[in-house]
Amino acid sequence: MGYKPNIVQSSTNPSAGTSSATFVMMGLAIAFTPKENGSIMVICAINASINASASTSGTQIQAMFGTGTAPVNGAAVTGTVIGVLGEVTRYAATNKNLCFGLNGIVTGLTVGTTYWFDYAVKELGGTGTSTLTNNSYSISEQ
Amino acid sequence: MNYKPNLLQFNPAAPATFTSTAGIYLGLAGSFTAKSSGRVLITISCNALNTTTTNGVLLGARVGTQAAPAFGDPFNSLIPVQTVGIKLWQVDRFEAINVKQTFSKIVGWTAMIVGTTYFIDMVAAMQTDGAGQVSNISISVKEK
Repeated sequence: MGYKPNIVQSSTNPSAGTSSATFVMMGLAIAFTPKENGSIMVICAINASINASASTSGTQIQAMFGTGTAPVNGAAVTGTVIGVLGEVTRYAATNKNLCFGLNGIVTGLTVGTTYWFDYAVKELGGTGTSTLTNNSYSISEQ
Repeated sequence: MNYKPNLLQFNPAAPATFTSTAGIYLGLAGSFTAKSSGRVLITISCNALNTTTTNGVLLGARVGTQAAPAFGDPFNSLIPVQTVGIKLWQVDRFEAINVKQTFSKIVGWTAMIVGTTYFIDMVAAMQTDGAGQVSNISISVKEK
């Protein structure tokens, strides 16, 4: 059998942002099934903005994965963190985008098992809604 | 030889605060040995802030075959050293003191020597003044 590692690219944006002061899922439900060895690289780039209180608000974003039913937008945080979180602790103004980049390596996934991939997001400051746009979520198997 | 490309995920602890405008190594001491092709994709993301002024921070990535540099070593103290295409990237101004911004870079490099161990580190400098901190560092290296 030839060497056919899997690759998935998603540009789907979350259906809604969050004002939650604790991490909640964005509900992207990106499905990925390892085909060869279960070792993957994840690279994410996304914009985030806040709709109120820019000077006292921020956003934390984590890339997440797990098995089973994919979480919906707004669900409590679940799964395993990929890499480390990205964080902005103040925006220049309301509704102005900032860039986030996240990356990580995951090993030990089970070949043939379908995993979901998503973001967990938390709003810092508690007075605005963090919204994610221009999502690029890339998963490539080794 | 079996086809066993290497993978590295490295989440070093946040290094100490720095004030140099000339540039220093952060002493992260990541280590990678190419096993198959020497063609790698390197991605780095982190947060950075200035603890005393709103002026910017410059960051870069370096790999080399020397002993891994320590925190505070001048960034030009190991020559030659590979920049692997990742030039300095920067935030010119922070919204306020202690406000975190995100940094992220992706680069492909095709010239890593198979079987040779390289250090992977970041270099940092203050743009004009202040004291910088880097945290939430994620370094991923995937060999083709």
